[in-house]
Amino acid sequence: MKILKALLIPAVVLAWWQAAAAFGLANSYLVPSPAGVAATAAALWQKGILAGHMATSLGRVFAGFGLTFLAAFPLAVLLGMNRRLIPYFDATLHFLRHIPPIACIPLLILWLGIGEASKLAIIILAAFFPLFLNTLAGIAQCDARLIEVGQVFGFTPRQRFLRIILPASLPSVVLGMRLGLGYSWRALIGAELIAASAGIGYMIIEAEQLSRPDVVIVGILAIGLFGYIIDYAFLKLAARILPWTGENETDDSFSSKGAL
Amino acid sequence: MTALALKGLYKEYRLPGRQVAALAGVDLAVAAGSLVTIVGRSGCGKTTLLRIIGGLEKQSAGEVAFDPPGARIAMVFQEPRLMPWLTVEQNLALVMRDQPPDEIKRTVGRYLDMLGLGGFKAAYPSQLSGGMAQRAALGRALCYNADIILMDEPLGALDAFTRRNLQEELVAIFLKHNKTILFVTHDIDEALILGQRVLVMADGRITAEVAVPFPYPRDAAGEPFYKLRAGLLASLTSPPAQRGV
Ligand SMILES: Nc1ncnc2c1ncn2[C@@H]1O[C@H](COP(=O)(O)OP(=O)(O)OP(=O)(O)O)[C@@H](O)[C@H]1O
Ligand SMILES: [Mg+2]
Repeated sequence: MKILKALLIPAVVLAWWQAAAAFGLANSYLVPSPAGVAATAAALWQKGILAGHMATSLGRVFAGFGLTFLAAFPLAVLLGMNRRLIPYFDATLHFLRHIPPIACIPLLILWLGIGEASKLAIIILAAFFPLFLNTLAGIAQCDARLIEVGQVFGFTPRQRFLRIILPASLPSVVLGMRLGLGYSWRALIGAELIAASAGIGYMIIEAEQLSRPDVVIVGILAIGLFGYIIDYAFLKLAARILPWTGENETDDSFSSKGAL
Repeated sequence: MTALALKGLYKEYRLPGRQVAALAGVDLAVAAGSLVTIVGRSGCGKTTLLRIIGGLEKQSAGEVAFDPPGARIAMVFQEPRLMPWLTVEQNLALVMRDQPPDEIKRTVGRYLDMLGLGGFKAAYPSQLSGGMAQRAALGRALCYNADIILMDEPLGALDAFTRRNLQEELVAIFLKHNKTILFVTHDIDEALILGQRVLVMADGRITAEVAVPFPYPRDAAGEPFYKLRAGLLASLTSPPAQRGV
């Protein structure tokens, strides 16, 4: 039932689209029919082109995201556990936070070229703040009353961190990871549109130059689909890591804010 | 032997525009292996007293001395304060870090059964009722092999039957393990059923003390009890100027 409800709007859109194409309401060259797009998707898939570009993009996202985690998590822990350091970083980080990663692409290309390095840099820029800020918030907002429990029962500072503060901040860390993954996926596609020789964004921009709107549409749909799949998989993983939160606390589909 | 000695304990909180003396000179010696209950009106400083003894708050003046000096202290807070990410069983085991796993499992299981939580080992705190969570918090303090247990209204959220049950269990544990227990309660009968001494607090001081010379288990219905209760009520309600320590 839930699935049927979810499919209603796509079905209506598809029907309109098909009708518009069938009755010649739109220029069939600019707006290919759904059937045409499906055929293109099948062909791209069979030749391994779609999968190839997809694998490139996904590989970049996961590598970049992993690197980001290695930088953002320790820094957030450092600041969260040493609040007196926060004033040194606060203004700078909030300044940087307002710069969309995509605005840095020209500089990154100048400095790093159009190879993998500039793509990784874009992903790091996009994923860093959601990861860092949410981890920091999770640590800083850890319930002081729970920390007191550790204090009374003779926990060492290390045990207090590992057994109380860290698990208490985990839901926030996971939320940051989820937002960060979404942001880096968007930012990467942006970077691939501007300068790349592979990846789903490149596939789209190349199709534009070859005047193949059907391929462009396949690319756009693939981006949405894979973004959805990544997020869904992460949500399921989160529910497993955070069994005490229940589904509702991590499933904030409409509250996670987009960027870029 | 004195397990805990408080001398001239004073604690003031600064609020905007004024100061509150939460403790205004508390002197107290608690014998090792004794059960002392503390009653007093809301806001008289009971929680503050326990928090200072437990090392969570620093006194403004005065001394807290333990014998032996490094005494292990457990605390049952006024709220359960369970770790939401741990199951009930894990919450109790959390304070038994330095013991062998099978020992931990056995001790935790024993206390959970005693507290009527045997069937909820794998439940998360969010799945417990308020009274169940409070019992789990009590179990956590009992699992920690403490010399002194501080209890801040630990049975406050329980129904009369469970409460009566746990009072008996607590007395049994006290008699068996010979712990030193400081027990804060709002309930005068509870204070008399549990305490060997009942301290009355008002305005940050201990204003009266009643010795309860009856053997355990006690029955709150007897004649001698009525007299003690009447005395306690009088010292709780009399104006400050007429109180003696
Ligand atoms: N952190 C604090 N900051 C300021 N004032 C405080 C603080 N903690 C306690 N007080 C004040 O100290 C006094 C004693 O508080 P305390 O919590 O010890 O009372 P209590 O006897 O435990 O009351 P209850 O029975 O309601 O739990 C109160 O007047 C309270 O306002
Ligand atoms: Mg209190």
